[in-house]
Amino acid sequence: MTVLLGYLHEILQGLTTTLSLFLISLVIGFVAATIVAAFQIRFPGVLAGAVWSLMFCIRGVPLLLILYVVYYGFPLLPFIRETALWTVFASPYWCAIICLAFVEMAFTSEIIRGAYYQTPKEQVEAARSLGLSSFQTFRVAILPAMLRNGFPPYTTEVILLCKSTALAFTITVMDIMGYANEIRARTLDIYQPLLIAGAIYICTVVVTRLILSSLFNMIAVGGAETADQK
Amino acid sequence: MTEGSPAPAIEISSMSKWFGPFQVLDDIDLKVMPGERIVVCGPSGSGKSTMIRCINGLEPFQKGRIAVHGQELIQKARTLDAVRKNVGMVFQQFNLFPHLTVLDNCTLAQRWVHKVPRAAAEKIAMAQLEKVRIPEQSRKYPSQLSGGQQQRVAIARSLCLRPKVMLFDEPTSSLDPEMVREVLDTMADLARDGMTIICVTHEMGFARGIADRIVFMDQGKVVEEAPPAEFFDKPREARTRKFLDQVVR
Ligand SMILES: Nc1ncnc2c1ncn2[C@@H]1O[C@H](COP(=O)(O)OP(=O)(O)OP(=O)(O)O)[C@@H](O)[C@H]1O
Ligand SMILES: [Mg+2]
Repeated sequence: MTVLLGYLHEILQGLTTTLSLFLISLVIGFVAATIVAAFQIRFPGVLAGAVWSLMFCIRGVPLLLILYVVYYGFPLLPFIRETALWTVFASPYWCAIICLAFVEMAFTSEIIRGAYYQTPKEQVEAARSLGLSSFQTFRVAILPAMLRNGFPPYTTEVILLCKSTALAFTITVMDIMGYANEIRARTLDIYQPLLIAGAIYICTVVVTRLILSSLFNMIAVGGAETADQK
Repeated sequence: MTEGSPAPAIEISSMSKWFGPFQVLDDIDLKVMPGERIVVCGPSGSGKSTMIRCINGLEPFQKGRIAVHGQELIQKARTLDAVRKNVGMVFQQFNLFPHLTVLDNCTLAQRWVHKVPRAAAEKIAMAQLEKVRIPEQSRKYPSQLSGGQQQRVAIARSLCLRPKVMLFDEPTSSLDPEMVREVLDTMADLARDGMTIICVTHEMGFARGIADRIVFMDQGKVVEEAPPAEFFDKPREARTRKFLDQVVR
């Protein structure tokens, strides 16, 4: 028992790292995704198609591969090695954040786009026929519908991101997974450290879910949830 | 309609519209005087919805002209807004904003478009909700109301903007039979108050009761236009007779 508590104590040292990897890449990814999706929606055409294809490719490549390219590959490039960029890319922690945010952008922009195009056109027409401007229409008809449609898939995406942070340990970042793996290698206890790490991830996911759903209830959609409850 | 009456509320002349190569509306002419009640009917796909959607600029058209109270419809944001100030529209699917309460649905456009202060807007909204006989539901969300109640809220929401013309596109078609009555009654009240109304509907009893004129459309054309008595009892066109045989039992 004391051994387990010792492990727990040691592994929890990685919690801040895991959480900050998760939250920072979440925010950066979301902001970038909003810009990317808004661009595709606002300026449809060849360029938007190119952006979409790029996002498609990012979604199609394993995160681990992207991590390796950035962490092992970028230092070989002179314009990174010899400029201010090196301060960022020399740190495995920031490499991980950049990769996570990059992939998160690709997935989230597609969720945003999907939510936008699912907006019932009747809602837009109702707003228009009341004389609302296009910005007002966006605010009262499109945005709420996007929240209604986009939140469930976004919740799933956020939880996937939370667990993807574990890959950062492959480039020497000491997060939850990093500490658990170190204990495993040092003590040859396999199950205990990994199970403890698993439990910590589950708790994180549960808390994330709770926060997201109360956020959803707060900002959205009075009518929509009451409808579900009925 | 009196002789030498003022300018028409709605004037559609030689209006045509295409969806790509497909011509939906073919040389439509229709003049509606202030206070007139027009019922539009016709088989599915004949272009009824498209025509009334053109009147408040939800659909662009390619030929002819439409004027609402003298204001010509051009696809420019400024003139569309001016026209929409005069024209209220009620849809088959109600299209209330689900995340806003009934009251907020009714005050939103007043506050955002007409810059009415909130308290005044709520007072107007409550007056209109009373008119459609559901003031007690004002704090609820649309999903907590029945279809008939939602449709009456949608009517009140439009009326809050004091439109001169109301357009209805099959307002009772997605309602359960027992709720059709309450919505039709609300519309009859409106008609009695002298509102100019264009209503697409298959409720022939309603048409007979309140319409000044019935417009029958088929394949994008206005085929026949007559007062109800004439329309139902001595339709001139063969296509009208065939349609009436199908809908009036
Ligand atoms: N956005 C669109 N793009 C292409 N064709 C359309 C579009 N909207 C309607 N149409 C076509 O235009 C024709 C007229 O449609 P409209 O909805 O005006 O008919 P309607 O008389 O209202 O029929 P209903 O009684 O079924 O509502 C139909 O053949 C329809 O398929
Ligand atoms: Mg229709």
